[in-house]
Amino acid sequence: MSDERDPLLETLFAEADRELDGGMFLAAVQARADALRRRRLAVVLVSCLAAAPALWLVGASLQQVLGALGELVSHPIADTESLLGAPMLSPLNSVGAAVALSLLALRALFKRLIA
Amino acid sequence: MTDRYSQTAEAVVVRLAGRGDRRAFESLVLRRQSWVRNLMRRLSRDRVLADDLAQQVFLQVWRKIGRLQHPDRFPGWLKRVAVNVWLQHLRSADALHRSDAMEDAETAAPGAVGAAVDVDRALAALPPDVRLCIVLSYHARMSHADIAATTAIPLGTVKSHIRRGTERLRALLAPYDEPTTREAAS
Repeated sequence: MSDERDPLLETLFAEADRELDGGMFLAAVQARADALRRRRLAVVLVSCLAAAPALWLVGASLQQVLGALGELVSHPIADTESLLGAPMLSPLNSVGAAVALSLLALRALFKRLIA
Repeated sequence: MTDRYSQTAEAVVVRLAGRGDRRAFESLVLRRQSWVRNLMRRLSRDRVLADDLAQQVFLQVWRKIGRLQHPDRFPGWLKRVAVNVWLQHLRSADALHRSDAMEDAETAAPGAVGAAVDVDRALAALPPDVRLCIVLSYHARMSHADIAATTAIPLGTVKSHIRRGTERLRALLAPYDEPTTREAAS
């Protein structure tokens, strides 16, 4: 069967498809959208309030971990000091750059595979 | 309320709504509410439920419209959102519970006239999957391939649902065919 439609049913569906007054409906949608926004705001506020004491407790440890991570990311992969263009290579000569480039390559590969 | 964007092209309004313009979103609701509510009425046969589901559709639109990259594809995207809301409703536990109450609610619906009531009543006689395919074909005017892609029902099944559903609806709505037949005969 092709996509052809039965003429009688087409006519009846068109007749049943009446224009409905949108005023009350719009008001209901606005009210629900506002309620949803208020609920989300409340969730964010409660989450922040709950996270504040937790952050205060683990703040020092978190700072240490972030510091160590920063050192690791900026650590050079190879010794390029003796090379002529060393300053130009330095942005790429780090663990962080290698990780970022690998992720970009994986993303490009993934896109090519699913395209 | 006044629709500030009533004269503006829909693609422009969609883009504005995607950037968080509340008035633009409201304009889209006013433009498309009849279509979405009628779709839900055909599918659910319950006006209150249909309006509730249509509101859910527009809430999802408001949440996700910023991610719509091609504003000119809004009509097709809206159809998909509406169908997903309906399918989620069918999957939810209270859908079966509510379906029992629908019969009485709809037969007693006030203000309903003519073809709308008869079409809805005839649609009620169809199994849910068949009804969905028929409504998407005749109300949403989607192609069989689009229906298959949107509902995840295999294309062959969509075609057979529409064939069976059309035959059943033709039989149930046969009285509407009689005046035409008489006119043609005279």
